[in-house]
Amino acid sequence: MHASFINYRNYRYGFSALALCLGAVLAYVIDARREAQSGGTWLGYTLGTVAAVLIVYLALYGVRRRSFRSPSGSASGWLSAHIYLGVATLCIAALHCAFEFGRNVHTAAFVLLLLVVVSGGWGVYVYARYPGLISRQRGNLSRETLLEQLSKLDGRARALASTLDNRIQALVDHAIRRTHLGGGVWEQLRGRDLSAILIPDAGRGAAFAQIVSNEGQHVLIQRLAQEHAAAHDATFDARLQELLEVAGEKAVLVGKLQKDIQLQGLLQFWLYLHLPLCFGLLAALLIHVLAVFFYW
Amino acid sequence: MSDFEFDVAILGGGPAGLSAAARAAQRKLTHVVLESAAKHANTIQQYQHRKHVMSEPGLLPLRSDIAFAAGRREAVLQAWEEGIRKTNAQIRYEAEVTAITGRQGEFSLALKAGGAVRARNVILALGVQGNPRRLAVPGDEFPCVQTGLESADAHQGETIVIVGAGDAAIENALALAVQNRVILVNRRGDFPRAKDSNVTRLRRALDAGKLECVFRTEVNLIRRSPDGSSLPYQIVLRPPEVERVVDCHRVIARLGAIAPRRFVESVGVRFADERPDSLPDLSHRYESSVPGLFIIGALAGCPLIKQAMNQGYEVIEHLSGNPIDPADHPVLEAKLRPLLDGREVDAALSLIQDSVPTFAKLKPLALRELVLASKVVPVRKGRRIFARGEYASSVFHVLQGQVQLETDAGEPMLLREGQLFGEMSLISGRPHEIGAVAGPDCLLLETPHGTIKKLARIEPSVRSYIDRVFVLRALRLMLLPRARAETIHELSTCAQIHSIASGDTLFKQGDPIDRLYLLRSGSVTLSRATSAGEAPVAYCAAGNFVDVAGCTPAVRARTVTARATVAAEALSIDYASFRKLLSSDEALQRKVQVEQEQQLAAYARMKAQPGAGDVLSFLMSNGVGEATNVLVIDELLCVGCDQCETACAQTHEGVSRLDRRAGPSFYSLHLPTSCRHCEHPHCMRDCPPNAIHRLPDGEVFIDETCIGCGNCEESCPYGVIQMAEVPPRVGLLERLLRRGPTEAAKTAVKCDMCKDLKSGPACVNACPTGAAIRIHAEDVVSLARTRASAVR
Ligand SMILES: Cc1cc2nc3c(=O)[nH]c(=O)nc-3n(C[C@H](O)[C@H](O)[C@H](O)COP(=O)(O)OP(=O)(O)OC[C@H]3O[C@@H](n4cnc5c(N)ncnc54)[C@H](O)[C@@H]3O)c2cc1C
Ligand code: SF4
Ligand code: SF4
Repeated sequence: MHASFINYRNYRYGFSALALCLGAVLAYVIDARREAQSGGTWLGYTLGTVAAVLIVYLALYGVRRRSFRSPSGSASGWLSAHIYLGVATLCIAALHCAFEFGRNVHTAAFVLLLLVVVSGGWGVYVYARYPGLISRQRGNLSRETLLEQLSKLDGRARALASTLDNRIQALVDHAIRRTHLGGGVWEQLRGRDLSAILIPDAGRGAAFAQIVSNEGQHVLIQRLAQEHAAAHDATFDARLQELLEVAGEKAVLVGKLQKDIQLQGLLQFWLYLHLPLCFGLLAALLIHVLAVFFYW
Repeated sequence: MSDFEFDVAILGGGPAGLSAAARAAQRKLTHVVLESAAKHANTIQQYQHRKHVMSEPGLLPLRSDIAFAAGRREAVLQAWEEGIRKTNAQIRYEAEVTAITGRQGEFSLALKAGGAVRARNVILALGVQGNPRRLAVPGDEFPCVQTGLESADAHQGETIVIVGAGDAAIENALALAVQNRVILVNRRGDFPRAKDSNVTRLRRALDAGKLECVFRTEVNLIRRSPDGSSLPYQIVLRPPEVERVVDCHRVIARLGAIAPRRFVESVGVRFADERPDSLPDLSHRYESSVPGLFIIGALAGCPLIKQAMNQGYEVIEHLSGNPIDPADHPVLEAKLRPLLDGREVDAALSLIQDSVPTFAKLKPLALRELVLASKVVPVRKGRRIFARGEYASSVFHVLQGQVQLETDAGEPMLLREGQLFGEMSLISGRPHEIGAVAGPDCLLLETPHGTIKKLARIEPSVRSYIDRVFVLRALRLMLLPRARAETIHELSTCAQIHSIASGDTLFKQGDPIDRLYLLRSGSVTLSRATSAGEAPVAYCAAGNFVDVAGCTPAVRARTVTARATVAAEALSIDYASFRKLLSSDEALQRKVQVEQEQQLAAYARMKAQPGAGDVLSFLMSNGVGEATNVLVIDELLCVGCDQCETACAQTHEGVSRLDRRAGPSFYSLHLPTSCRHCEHPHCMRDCPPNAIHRLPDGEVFIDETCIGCGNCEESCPYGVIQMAEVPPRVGLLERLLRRGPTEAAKTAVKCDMCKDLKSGPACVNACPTGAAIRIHAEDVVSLARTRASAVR
């Protein structure tokens, strides 16, 4: 049935990449017995050319992604090849320079390649792991449905609070208004609940109210529980009890949404590193090649 | 009274009625059109504003004194208005006819507003839209009360009360709620008549507070607001407890329409049968079973404007003693050419009727329509007509020569003149089980599924003949490939056909085993009762025996319940006859044994994996059981990049035919809103220009003859068809000559499985992680099982 990009056609590209690396290592070892290896030997040039061609091929994945009529095979096949051959490229590039590093543009290109591969590796990890987490923790519901549920809970809380006294009504209202989802990139990625609540200072009245964190709806629940503890009449109590339950449900739901946003954010975030690094690599590669041909 | 006496009275001022009136004026017949609405062509007036009206079928010439060409609704209506003026056609508006009495030469037509009209002949051109049901409460006649909505954009900042609980009410309410305050009034507590997709959209809008809905509430009356109120009218509602008064600008009653059938029957016209969509019996001159009373247009079964207009012209010509050939005559002549051989078209038609028993009892008009929708194809000897495993879109009749059907077991079946084939796939909706090869001098009549299904719905004789052929062939193919014809005939007398609605049972666990069932269309799940309810253990598709595993001599009662996942049909023979057959036929014994073993193994495998049953139920209840190809997304792999949707839009005029986010999920399997390419596509049921087709690989697609009527959108239970403005495809030459359509028309669009892309479905192809795949209903059990083991 479903086959992922990792085990596409039974690891076809994983094995190809492995074969490529093994071949390169073998050639390197054999050739090293003949002469000292460096980028400038016959083998060095060959491996360099192979690595450069591979890098260009890997970059073409970005083009394939956008050509929807392409007859060149499925995007998941391409991604599979992109990943395995990407790792192989790193190996070949290392052999190409015979592990000679310095403070120059050539090593810069290698370091960029390394970073691209590492960021890609992070991407692979994220793609393999997060969709499952997201799906499981959403529990068959879409984010839209969760948001709908949230607005329904808020509606119920407001309706319940309106039958209780003004203080509680204000409390619930503030808690709803300062419920915080998403936010900037950093906030999304950290996934912390930044919900707040405005609570009046018991002694000094409304003017001295202060905003405090309402993470996990804790403060709201605590305040409602305090009200509950102070005995009232039976209907009041029953409604308060219901309100408490709604607040509890909401805390769970907000947590879920928060987590969902965080995971979705993390799912995309690595790309913001991988892509610029890729372009950097292509530029460095060009300079490296030009440098080799003009100044050697 | 002589000033009220006409040669002909025409009921209904739609395209058919107007064209008839214009011709009558030319022929100097005294005539009158009685139109119940205040404007001409009420059906077209009700189309969406600026709708592009199409002039299908393209091949058919227009024969009318009034002009008609494809174009905007407004332009079409204006052309007709001019036509009415120029030809001096006589129309009386707001003249609904409530009864017709008398007979040829002295009909009397009673008008709702009082009075009567007398006429020697009557033409019914009432269309099929029916008259909209009104509220029937005091104040119903105020101008603020309307029964339709021409354009939601025409209203802004109003308070609008909509009464009704069907799709029309919901769709209007949602469209108007964007710019108005809308209150939807529902007599009941839910929306049983509306489509699920509409109910879901409505619930979302209600939750978001976009509109208000009151349940179990009826309308008491409508009145003008007292002076000084800000809104002009008040509607008084009667909920279960207290009366509620709502100030409003407008009331829209969407209470459905009163179909014209009853009225037409009350006049004495006979219909082919009881079913609601059956047609009146008509002669080839459109005369009904009541002499002097003619029926034309949509009511006569011609669903398109051009046909309706042609019939209006022709019926008057007949009446004035000029029996002309119908406008489709040349088209028919070209079609029938291989059969003509010096004959007239009518003679060729009777030849077909005489030799083909399926159509023996068809009325002449219905036969013409049938042949017009079909193709007459000569096939060279030895050529394959269809191969085993191909999806079918037509049935065939042998007009001349021979055809060989190749079965697995036994001799090939030889078919001769008049015989029907391809009926198995017609009924099952599945690929052909057998191949067909042309014999010598083979000439075939090829009829699209849509046409023959519609005919079978409205013509009992066609239905029962096809069923009879099916039973005989199915018994031979499935049970007794080598038996003599008499044996099969004898067995067929005890065969029964059962129709089961979706969700109903064929038999229940514990029922005695008294019949052997062969599923002939749809699918069923077999389940066992557990403490937690029914747990599915198997899925059975059309073409298979249902629960033969349970049919061993030792077992007396069913061990499973068979429940239809979609509307299904089964053929059955009584179990005693079956046992008798079994004891005398070794080949059958072997076959049954193999099926029993397979089914038992399947039960056991499903039982070993408790989750698999749940996944199976989920997939079944979402239409996968009738899918030939459905998109399933694995949420464990989906990274939410929307490449699938982008790919779909990019390869289909910028409109994505799939909505990834929408649709249900279960066990991390997601079924996005996207076409299932159903075995029996519901969308094909009622497409006026027959614009929906299926290809041999199963793809269901809509071609460019779609007129945008929206029937298919309404019929699809999975809400996957959208009406969208797609820029017309204009060829280079046409563009250079500035010919062809230049404006985008709103037409039906849906997934066509990228039939024109060599690389296959773009959505699957573009998915970078392998999350999006397309599966067939047959893969559903293995999908359920792999899923149950992947997710715990
Ligand atoms: C949304 C939609 C889009 C369509 N688009 C197209 C298209 O693009 N191209 C195309 O060819 N076809 C199209 N059709 C089909 C087309 O509208 C019909 O085939 C056509 O209108 C049939 O014409 P008619 O004259 O038979 O009936 P109608 O046009 O339905 O006319 C019947 C008339 O009779 C009147 N009437 C009813 N009852 C009475 C009574 N008791 N007394 C007096 N008068 C009465 C009605 O008010 C009405 O004016 C479309 C249909 C729909 C619903
Ligand atoms: S459009 Fe709807 S009814 Fe038609 S084949 Fe697709 S899913 Fe089935
Ligand atoms: S809208 Fe649908 S039913 Fe109507 S003509 Fe187009 S394809 Fe056929």
